[in-house]
Amino acid sequence: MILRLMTPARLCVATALLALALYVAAMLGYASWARLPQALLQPDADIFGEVYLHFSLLPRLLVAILAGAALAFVGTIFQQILKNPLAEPSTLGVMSGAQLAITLLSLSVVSLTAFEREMAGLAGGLAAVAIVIGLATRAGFAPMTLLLCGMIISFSAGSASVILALFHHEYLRSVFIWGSGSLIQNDFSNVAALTVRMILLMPLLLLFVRPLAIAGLDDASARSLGLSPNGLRLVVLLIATVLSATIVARVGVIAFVGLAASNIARLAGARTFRLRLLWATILGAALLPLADGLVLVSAPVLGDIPTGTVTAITGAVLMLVFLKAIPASPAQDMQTARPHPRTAVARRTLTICLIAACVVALISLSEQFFIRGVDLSTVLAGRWPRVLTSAGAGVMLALAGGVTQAITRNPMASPEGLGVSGGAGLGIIAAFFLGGMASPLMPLLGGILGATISFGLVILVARRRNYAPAPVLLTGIAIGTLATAVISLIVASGDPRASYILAWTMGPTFRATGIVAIIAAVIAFLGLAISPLFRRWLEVVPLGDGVAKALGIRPGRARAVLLLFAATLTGAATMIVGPLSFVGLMAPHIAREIGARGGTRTLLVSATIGASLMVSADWLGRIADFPYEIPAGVIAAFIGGPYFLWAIFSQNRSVARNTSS
Amino acid sequence: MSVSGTNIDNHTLTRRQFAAALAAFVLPSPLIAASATPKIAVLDWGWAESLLALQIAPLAVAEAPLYGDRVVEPALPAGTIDLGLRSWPNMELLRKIKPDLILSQAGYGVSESRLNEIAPTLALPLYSSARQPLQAAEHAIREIAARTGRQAIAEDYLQKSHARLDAIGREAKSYDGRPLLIIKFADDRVIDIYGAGGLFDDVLKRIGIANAWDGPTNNWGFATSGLEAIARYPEARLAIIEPAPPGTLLQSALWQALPAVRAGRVTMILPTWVFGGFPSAMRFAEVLKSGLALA
Repeated sequence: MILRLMTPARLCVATALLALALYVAAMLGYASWARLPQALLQPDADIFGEVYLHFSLLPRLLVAILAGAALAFVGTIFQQILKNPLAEPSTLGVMSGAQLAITLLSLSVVSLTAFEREMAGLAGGLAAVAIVIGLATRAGFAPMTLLLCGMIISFSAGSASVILALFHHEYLRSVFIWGSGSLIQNDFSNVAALTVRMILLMPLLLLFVRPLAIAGLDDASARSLGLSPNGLRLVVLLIATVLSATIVARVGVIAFVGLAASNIARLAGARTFRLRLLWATILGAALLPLADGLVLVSAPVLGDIPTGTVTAITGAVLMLVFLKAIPASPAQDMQTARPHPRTAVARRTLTICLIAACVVALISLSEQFFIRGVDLSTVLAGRWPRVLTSAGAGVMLALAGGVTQAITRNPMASPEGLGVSGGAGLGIIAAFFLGGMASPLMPLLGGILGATISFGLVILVARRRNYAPAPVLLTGIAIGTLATAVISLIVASGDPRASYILAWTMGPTFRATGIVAIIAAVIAFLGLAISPLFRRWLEVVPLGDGVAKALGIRPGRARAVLLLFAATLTGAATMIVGPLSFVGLMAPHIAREIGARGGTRTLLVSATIGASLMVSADWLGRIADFPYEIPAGVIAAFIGGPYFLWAIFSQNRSVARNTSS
Repeated sequence: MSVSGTNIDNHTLTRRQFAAALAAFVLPSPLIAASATPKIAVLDWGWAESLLALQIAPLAVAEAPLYGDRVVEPALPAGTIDLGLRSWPNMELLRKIKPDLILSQAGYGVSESRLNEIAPTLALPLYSSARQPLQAAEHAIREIAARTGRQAIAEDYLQKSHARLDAIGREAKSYDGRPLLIIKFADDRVIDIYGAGGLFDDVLKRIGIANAWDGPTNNWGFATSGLEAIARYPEARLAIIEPAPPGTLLQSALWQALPAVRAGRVTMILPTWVFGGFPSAMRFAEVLKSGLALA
């Protein structure tokens, strides 16, 4: 009912009025109502309040309007060209790419000028989009593949930024303040810079509205009009990326404004591309000031929260809502689990995997590259907890990954990709702030609780969508973004605990004590022991609800139990190796690649592989930058990100091969 | 950073080690333990500088290369072993160097019980619920001295330091009495302001200069804000810890409109380690004295 009364125009006016009211409320702290117009335009240089209004709050409002409009404009174009309602600069990796490049540059120069920051941001944003688009091209720009590639690039670039932060967080504080999206302004330089860039680039993009509106229909009709769909896409994508990267470099990481504005405009009735472009841009120009106004008004109570954090948190929630907007296509982008030519895994495969795991563990336990002259018993005493902990976490993630892939009928699903790890990370941080670092038990409980809540959220969305793979994965992206935003907020706060939190969320196996190791081993063992009980469910659930019911299984209950099982394992594992490991994706995937298929033995093979991966990651993290230790979770994410991309790529290639033959 | 691994095996003898080796050659062994410099691994920079004040060179310090940039002085001797992150030092390296004593900050990084498994550990509080870091730092110097048999040096150091603080306090009477706002730029828009519960605030109290900032501060005694916070204290004098903000900000209308800036009440002071121990407090008092040109 409310939606029917809501036209795009009314919505824009309401949002703008609300934003303006909040801004005026904040401004009245610096000048009286009567003096306000005068102070904003011609401040008395002797009264700081008036100068502050004119040189800080006014440019801040203008930057919010301009950046909001530009990001919404670009977001709508990204969505149209990629035929994907969730595309926008942040989901395509532009923001993370820019952030990584700017972080790297900050480490090599003493102080970064705005121009250098912009160039670095441009390079990083373009590189990220080039990779995402390059991979997506091979998949025919399938929306799901595109988003997944963008997500992986964001995660990989994000984990690289985090490693840098871990070791240089005092040097990189300014980069993190920028990264968290603070809109504080001290003059009109950003207003001028944004205006120039928008005046140059937006009309250029408007030239393409007509072909875009047509190309939005489908490739065939675009081709019949004599347009090369990919050529058109590349040119528009390039310009749109340049515009969004410069805005990000100037203003900071402001995720989800483009996504929110465009989708709200669509829901409010802007059906065609042209209408959506118009109203989304206007709405974006009101939405970002609204978010910023909230930040300003709440500052006396909550302190200075970066505006980018507010948009990221709001955006993550909105994204969950907008998942409905994704058309439920019967032809899934992500291929569902396909029958494998080989029947059952040979016992030999399992034996080989077990031997490999033992060899890796033995090397890690006994190697003495950097600490010669220490007797072996001392080395072993220090190392067995971390090796056992890593192995336990690897087993847990592999089991959780295998179960997740079976329930979602999606070989690309994983606890990491479903946001369960992100939720666990948030739980761990919350427990850390409540209970401190004294006992490992609080974070463990927090992690399991966070994982269960986030998985519950995923289930809620999934159930409404009949467990279609796409919404489930995208819910995960939203929760992952939320976790990243919170971590970024903590680092920007300058709290000396920040480096501890960062290390924690990145998977510090080096923190493992004997007790933690034994707990991890027990949980992993219990997981292994319980998993054969789920064998029948795991075999039948991927075949679909119809088959399941025919075989006397209640698919809903089976799924719920399996999800809880996976959430508990993920929560425990995240506490040990952090939310970014990708082992839950890699281990089952590798197990399938080497021929494991169906039944308990697959789970065992996958668990063995998971253990080997984690133990290797822990070992590499220990020797790569001695005496500094790189958390195992970050190393695993470094290996896992590219592996994920490769897996998507090779899967699409095999799909292409299958369909062409 | 990774080269330090090889350094451990091949580092050249320092004077201290040479003396120890000589002592081992000349003196009967029970005496060595008492007289040779103890091997101390330090995980907190505040305790590292305190140890140097007691004329003991630490064998190993966490993030030793960064110490030179941040704490500046007293400088660590060349060849100090880098132990990895302060929040998580390399436990294997710690085991390998077999220190006689480990110094850590209570409540930060590795727990005392885990460090005790490797070597006797002194975990001393600095930022605790008492919120008096200067007192904690003085207490820590005495504790460290007691453990290393340097009580006499500690008392001498503390006595001289307090005499110096008293002298600076007397000189501060010539100061115009304006409260100070001690700030540090996090970037060109955001500043940290040091207030109650921080080392600098304690030093100001000790030398009798008022701290302007009466707002809330976090555990470590600072608050983070935009420039407008400075304007809330129009009577204050600004003491900016270097590095200075970029020139574009210093010339901006907003900066120029700040009451303290307009009145020319801005003082730059040399970088000082914010979360340090007693020597950092002393250094802060000295740079403040020269910054304010106290007679």
